Amino acid sequence: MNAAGLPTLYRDYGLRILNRHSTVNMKLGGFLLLLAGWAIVVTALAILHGHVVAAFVYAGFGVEILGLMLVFRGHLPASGDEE
Amino acid sequence: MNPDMQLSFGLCLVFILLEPFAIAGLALINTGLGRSRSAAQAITTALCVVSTAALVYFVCGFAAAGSPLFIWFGGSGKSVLEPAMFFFRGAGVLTLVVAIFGVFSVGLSSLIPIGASADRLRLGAACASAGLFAALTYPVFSFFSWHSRAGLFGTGSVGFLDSGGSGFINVVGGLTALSVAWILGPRQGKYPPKGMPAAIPAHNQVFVLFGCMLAGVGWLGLNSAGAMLYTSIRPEGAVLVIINTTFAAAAAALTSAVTTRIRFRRPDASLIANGWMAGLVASSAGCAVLKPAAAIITGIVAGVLVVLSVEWFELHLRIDDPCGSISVHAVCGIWGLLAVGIFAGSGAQFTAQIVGIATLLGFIFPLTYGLNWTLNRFIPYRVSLDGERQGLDLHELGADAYPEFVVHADEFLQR
Repeated sequence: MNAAGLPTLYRDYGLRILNRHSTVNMKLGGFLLLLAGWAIVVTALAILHGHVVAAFVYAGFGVEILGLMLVFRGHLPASGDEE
Repeated sequence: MNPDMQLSFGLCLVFILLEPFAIAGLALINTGLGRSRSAAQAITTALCVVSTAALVYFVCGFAAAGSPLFIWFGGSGKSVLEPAMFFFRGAGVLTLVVAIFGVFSVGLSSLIPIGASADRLRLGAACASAGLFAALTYPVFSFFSWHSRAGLFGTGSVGFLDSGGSGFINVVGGLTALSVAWILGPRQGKYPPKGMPAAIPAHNQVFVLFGCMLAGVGWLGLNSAGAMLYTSIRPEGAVLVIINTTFAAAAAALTSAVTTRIRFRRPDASLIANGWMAGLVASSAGCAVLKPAAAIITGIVAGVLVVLSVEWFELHLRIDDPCGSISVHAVCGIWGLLAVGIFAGSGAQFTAQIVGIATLLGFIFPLTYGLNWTLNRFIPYRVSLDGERQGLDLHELGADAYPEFVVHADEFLQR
């Protein structure tokens, strides 16, 4: 039993489930950011003209970089998950 | 066909016929960098994957990509999923040249994920994944790449430039490799609970280095044919393509030798091989437009980048990529696309290259990850633990690649 009165086994299992949920959310969020960034780029190309297009293209690309970081973070194994 | 066109046509066909050397080279590299107990399965998988990709591309891939002939001849382009192009139907001899280039390119591209999934990917799953790749992932970006020159995704009058396929062959394959590596997870024993990741050395460096030489020949054909088809260079322009490709690869191989010498105190053969391949990959995008000095700088950066990237993926991101496919093809492919924007044009060209890279990362990557993740639910990618321990040769094919060799010590460890 631990301090909260829960058996350690249950606490560890709960933490692992929580951890899995957060990594799944992180991957999903990351991929959504990637798609959102691409949508910004394509929309800018479709509806804007002149120098402002480049600004939106770079902004969209920046969003994609954030998404990529999140996807990589979501795929990092939590400590203790490895063989 | 006028004499000029006849010369272009003949030369282009010769260059296309060199492309299978790139496929053979990559297959040898993937086999050599894997374990000896999975060598026969690795090269069998390569053969089956290339065959699947070629047939699927014939059935529907080329139709999905649309014909790029409108760029070459200035006519009107075909739309995506043009019904007349299924099974190459209605294609004239010139369209067939483009189609054959596509068949070899999709074969080469579908081999890239096999390197990242070595020693643990089932043969059937590899073929199914290659089928999806040739039917959807590769054609979608080919469509983008070809049509962007006509202004569909271009910025103003400038379009995304990727003559030899840094993007539509290498980055697409590299991002698929990353997806498959994540879905499969690392090999058994690669990441112990404590300490550094285990080094699992290549089983045959001679295969790897000879594969690099073969791939070099294939890449000369790939880049030259790609430049003729997609950048509309004249036959004499192929000389610049060959110079750029060779110099970039040479610079990258030497730079990676120096980088590994500095970092690890002695040159590392497999990383030098990766450096050579990284130079070839990075040279592809701008081979028709870069000056030789710019191609050499592109190669030097690729040579450093690949060494650092392989280390970063293995140690920090904990991605088990036995052949360095993600670093060589995805990372250095993206660098090659950027290099075109930096060295070969205006700000508008740089923005167009960013649009291409944004499409690769923002659309192709989620697409290929989603497709492979879904396919893995129906056809499990990974072999069983026992199969992995036994080796894929015995487990999947029933016979070892090297039956007279002494078997592996860890097969006799008590379980």
